Amino acid sequence: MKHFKLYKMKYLFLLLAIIFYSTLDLTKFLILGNMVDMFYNLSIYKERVYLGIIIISSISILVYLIDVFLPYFKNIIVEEDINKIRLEIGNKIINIPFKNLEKMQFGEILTKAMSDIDRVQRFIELDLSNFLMLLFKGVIAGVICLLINWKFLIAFILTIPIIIILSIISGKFEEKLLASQKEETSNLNSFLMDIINNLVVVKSFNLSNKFLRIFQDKSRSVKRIEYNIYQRRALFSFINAISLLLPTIIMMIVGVLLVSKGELTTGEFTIMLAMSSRIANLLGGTQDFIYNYQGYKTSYNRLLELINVPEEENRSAILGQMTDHCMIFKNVSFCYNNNKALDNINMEVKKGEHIALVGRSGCGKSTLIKLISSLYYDYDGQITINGISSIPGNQRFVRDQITLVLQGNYLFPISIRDNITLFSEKYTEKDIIEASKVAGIYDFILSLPEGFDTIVENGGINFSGGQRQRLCIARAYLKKSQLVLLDEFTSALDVNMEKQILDSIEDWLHDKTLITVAHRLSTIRNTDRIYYFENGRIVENGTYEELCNLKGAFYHLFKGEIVGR
Amino acid sequence: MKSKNMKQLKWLFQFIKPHQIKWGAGFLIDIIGSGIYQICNGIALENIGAGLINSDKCFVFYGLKTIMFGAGVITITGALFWLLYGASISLFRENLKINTFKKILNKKHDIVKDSPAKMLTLLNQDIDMSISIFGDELRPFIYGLGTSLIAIAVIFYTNIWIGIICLSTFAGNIFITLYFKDKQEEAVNKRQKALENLNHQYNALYEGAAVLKSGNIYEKPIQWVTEATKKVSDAKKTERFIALKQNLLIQLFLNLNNVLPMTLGVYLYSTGILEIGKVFFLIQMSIQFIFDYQLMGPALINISKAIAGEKRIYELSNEADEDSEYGVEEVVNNNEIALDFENIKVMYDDKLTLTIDKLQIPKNKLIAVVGDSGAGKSTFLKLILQLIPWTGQLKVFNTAARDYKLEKLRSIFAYIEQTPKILNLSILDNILLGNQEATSEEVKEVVIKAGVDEFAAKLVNGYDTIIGEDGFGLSGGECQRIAIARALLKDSLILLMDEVTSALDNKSESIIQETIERFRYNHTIIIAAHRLKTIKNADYILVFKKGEIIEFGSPEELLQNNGYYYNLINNKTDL
Repeated sequence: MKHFKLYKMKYLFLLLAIIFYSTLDLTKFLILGNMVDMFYNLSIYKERVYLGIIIISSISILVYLIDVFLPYFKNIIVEEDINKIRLEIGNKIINIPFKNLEKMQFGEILTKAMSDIDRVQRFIELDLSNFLMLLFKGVIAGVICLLINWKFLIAFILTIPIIIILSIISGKFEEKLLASQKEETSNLNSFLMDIINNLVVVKSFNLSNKFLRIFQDKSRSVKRIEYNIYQRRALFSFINAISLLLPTIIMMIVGVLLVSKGELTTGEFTIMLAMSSRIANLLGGTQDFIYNYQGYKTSYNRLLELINVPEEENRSAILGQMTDHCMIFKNVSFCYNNNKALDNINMEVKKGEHIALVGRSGCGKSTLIKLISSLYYDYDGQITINGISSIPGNQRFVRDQITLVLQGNYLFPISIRDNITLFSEKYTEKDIIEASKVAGIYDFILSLPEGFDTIVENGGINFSGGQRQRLCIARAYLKKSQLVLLDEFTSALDVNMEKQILDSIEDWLHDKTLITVAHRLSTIRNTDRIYYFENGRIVENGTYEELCNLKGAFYHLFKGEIVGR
Repeated sequence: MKSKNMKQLKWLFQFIKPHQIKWGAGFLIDIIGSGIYQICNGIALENIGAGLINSDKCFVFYGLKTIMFGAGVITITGALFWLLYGASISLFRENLKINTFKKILNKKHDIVKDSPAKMLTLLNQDIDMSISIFGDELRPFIYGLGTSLIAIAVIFYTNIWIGIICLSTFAGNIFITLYFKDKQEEAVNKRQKALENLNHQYNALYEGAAVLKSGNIYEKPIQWVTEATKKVSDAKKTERFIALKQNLLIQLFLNLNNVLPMTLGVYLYSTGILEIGKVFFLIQMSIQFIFDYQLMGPALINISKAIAGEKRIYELSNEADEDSEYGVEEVVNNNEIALDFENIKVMYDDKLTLTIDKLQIPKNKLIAVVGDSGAGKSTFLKLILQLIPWTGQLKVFNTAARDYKLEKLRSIFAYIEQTPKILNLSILDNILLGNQEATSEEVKEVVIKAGVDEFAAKLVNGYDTIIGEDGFGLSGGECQRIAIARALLKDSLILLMDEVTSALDNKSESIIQETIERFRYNHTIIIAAHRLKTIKNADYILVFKKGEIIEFGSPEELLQNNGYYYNLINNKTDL
């Protein structure tokens, strides 16, 4: 994992601490074993026995201190790295292409941020270091055994291959199950997110019971997988117990034989027993480790899936060529999930021109807006915005040129002021007040007890739809870019307010290039040019009068209103 | 304090049912198995030790036989434990999750205020913690407790003084754990809140991606996440620091246990009170005792943490449900007044947002609700739907709203939101949410009426296209048409629409206008509208201003009033 490289020294320190700890622990038993032999002649060795006890006690104190402080430092070091992954997830949400983000469900991201990260952390912090501890203890114990009596060890080593084969077989099954468990949990979370976000629908249509049933079905399948995992675990524990106990018993038998033949003293036998339990622990621990490693790998891969999504590339500054055209589309086609969303679009918009995109919903207008604002950029053809070619890598420059107001712009859970300025510090209080006046929200903000410092809750549920939209307009006004994109921005406003806003933003917009998507004649009528879309193609374009005279699709869509006037 | 915890645990335990027998049996078998193994191990060591010293093979073989027997027992009981435990724990998780989800669904009103991130944190991490109380954390605890109690008993039996030492360190540890419990709980609470906050930030970044990208804003959001992650790691550090202090004491007692029995054993042997085999046995037992009991220390810490997590679920479970169990289940539709409001007050965050002194809405009429944005139109509709808390007297078809069974009451209304919410289901399933028993003819009828058919039929997968899958999205107008189809399929007595036509093009709108025309003579329709056409067409106009009704009457009456409606009509004649 790349995050570890930064902390090599710290991990090395941990490793050394673990080795030291294991050695100390074993030394204790070595001394203990020697003392056993002295026991028989306690009157002779009395002082040495007491010395031994003193040594053991002081080692115990050291072990005690390490026991207490090692987990603490381990946690602090690992936590720092895990936090980097948490940050990286945030970074990914911010920096991956919009299209990739749209394809992810938030529940999935959250499952990764919660359970997968926990799993990875537990592995590195506990499982891995526990295993290392067992490994060192086991290896050192093996060496000690070898030094005392090699026959003893050979008997022991013979049991290892059987155990390893057994654990590899059971590990294989595990991997698939764990992956599908994560997958199902992730699905379940996406489902939950969807329901919790749409509780109003669920309640107003009396659907609680229906969704509870669906949830029950879904969680039943999660449960089934989980139960399967436990069944494997049972098999696993069987194998584990055998691999833990088999060596111990074999060593006991061999040890007893050796002692009775006089090749081993009783004290040495005691040491051997203590050592053999260390080696057996290593074997059992290896199995646990393999088991935990499977879980870790599954979670780690799932995190990588997210972390490996390439971020949007960014080039260094590119100056736009001076041109009369604010926006040029040349033979642009765009597919979304194999559905052709836009088909061979050609458009030229001059500086200062106001144009309108019209068509029935789903005709491709909003997709076009996303292409202009460089939220999507994997299209065929050529798009140039203010002289900057909209190709991958240029999106930040393109986005600097535009102001985008969407139908349901998101309000962040921060103060109203920050929502309007979007954290740019270049705006003065005067600018902010001016912007909110233009959007017609100034009086309302003043009426709030905390004014501009009022915190927007949960995507703006403490405001009405109209108020939310007006905050977005104030936000857009502040950006003061040359090209303004309005995507059905007044749809949530009432007639009065719409007129007020249209009047007040008229001054702001009159020298701007404006591309607006609208359904209301009042918004469209005064534009310089109207593009009429059908199924991702431009079928008619011209001024309002031209299109009315044409008596084509546009005329028919607005017939009622045009005739009514 | 104590009894509250017990209540909390008792509440949690009910979710293991009906597998509590399996659960209990699993743990019992586990304890018995490891107990037998421990005893066998002790006996074996005593015999082997004695046998080797006295060169008596019988003793040695007896010892070996005993330990093999113990090993056999623990192997089988271990596997049995996982089977029984697995069955009960997987059910436990399922039950608890379903129950918590049910609570979220049925919780009273202000659920809308709870952030999804919080709910998801509860449903994942806090539930996992709760499960571990009777699961993963309990096992080492019970195992440690069981075997160390057995060890203590055996040690006591062999030598009372060493027994007393072991018992007192054991008691010391329990005391320390209890002492740190509250601090631990507070730290866990803080950590979970920090995680919740982080998830909330992730959510904001995800939802606001279009705004952030189009505004080229990158640094600040990174800063949010950095702050949020820092909070998490700070909370975790505090938590660890408390654990460090706790561990310092726990391990101290453990190590005393390591040294004291041994020293005492040697002393007793030297004075001739104990035989060599017994000393062997005692030392082995006390080491084993420490080994098991070492498991117990962290387990105790973890359990007290898990209880803090469980508390969050428990608190959620104690929140009041919407009253949906009992009440009137019949709608008497012979009253001329559909809705009758009296002294209604709606509070939001302790602020009065809507007051209605008296209002009667007649049956089978089209009522347009108008007013500036934020005047209370949406609140009015949500009030009728019982989605927000209110006080006062509301009668629906002459029966008090509170007397209805909630499900019945909501079935009287069909609601179309301002920004329609479409679930991540297929288009067809989204429409069927309106009436799950609808026949395919009925569905066909509404999809044409609502204009869904025009776009849905063209999609590669047609009505089976799943929304949200692979980022498949619908335009605002399309969503609204689906929402309309859904509401039409429900065919309720009262139709509530919130600025419904706003995102629709003219053609779709006229389809809906036609539908409204067809419906208005046998349905009550309440529209929070801003198109003049809709407003002029209404039978009654209801004007809100700053959360109060300022005008109510037929368009003709209001025109003579020279009030809000009059101004609306006259300012806007060119629309």
